[in-house]
Amino acid sequence: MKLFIEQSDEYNDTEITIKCGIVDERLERIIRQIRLSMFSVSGVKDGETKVISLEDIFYFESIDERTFIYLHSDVYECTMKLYELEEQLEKANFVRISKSCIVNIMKLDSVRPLMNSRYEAKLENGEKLIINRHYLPAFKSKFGI
Amino acid sequence: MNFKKRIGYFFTMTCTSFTIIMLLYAALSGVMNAPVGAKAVYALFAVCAMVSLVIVITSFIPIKSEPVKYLINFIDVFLTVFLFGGGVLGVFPFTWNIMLIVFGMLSAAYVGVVVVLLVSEQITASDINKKISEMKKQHHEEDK
Repeated sequence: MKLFIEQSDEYNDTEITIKCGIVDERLERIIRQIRLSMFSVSGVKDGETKVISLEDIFYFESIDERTFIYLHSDVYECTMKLYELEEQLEKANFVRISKSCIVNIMKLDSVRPLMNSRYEAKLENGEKLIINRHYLPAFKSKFGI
Repeated sequence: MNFKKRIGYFFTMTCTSFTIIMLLYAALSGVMNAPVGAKAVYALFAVCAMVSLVIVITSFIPIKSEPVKYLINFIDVFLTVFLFGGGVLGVFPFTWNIMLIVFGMLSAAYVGVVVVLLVSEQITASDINKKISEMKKQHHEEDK
């Protein structure tokens, strides 16, 4: 794999072009990483707005039609709806695991099965989320299973 | 759970419970004074299939509590065996000693099916956990 970087004052916007014969697993990972770096969301906490990088987000949760962003130990409110985030993050390392939750798979520590084809996901910060059976096929496909 | 998964569950539950029930029935046929004949085999299979079907149907009920789900599934088994198996098909007579044996058999079959399903889910969880470890390892290597 070759990497070309053209730097010039002529360019106003940064543009990434990938030329390849096939998108293999390695390339897919790189593309996901690029998408992750390109997209960020704004979160509000105590009246202050902060731009949050996707890499820092553990999961998004929708409660009473409000969307929240969960970081390692912080919670911010997000103006975007969960379905909008789902569309935007479809090809990044995020996957919907229940009606109200989208998780960053890079923040997963482990999963364990529960009854009725549901799973419990343990995150790096020790939090536990339920992977609903309806979203399990999409969750598994994120891991190529 | 999608349709394919439900069908898979149905067959796993039916086959596992039928195997356990047949082994127990064969072992206890002398005590129960009920020989293992073709009619009994078909009737027991029908009961096992009906129990699986009832469990699949009740799995649509949105319940969050795990113990409650186990309890509901056990009630599914209990009611189907006694009402459908004992009442409709007449697989066993409603005498106290036979009902006690049947209760023991269905409890054993229920535990057996739960164990088989959990083992199957555990294999999937292990595969996912392996992928998570691999992804993290690759991610750390790329960071270096």
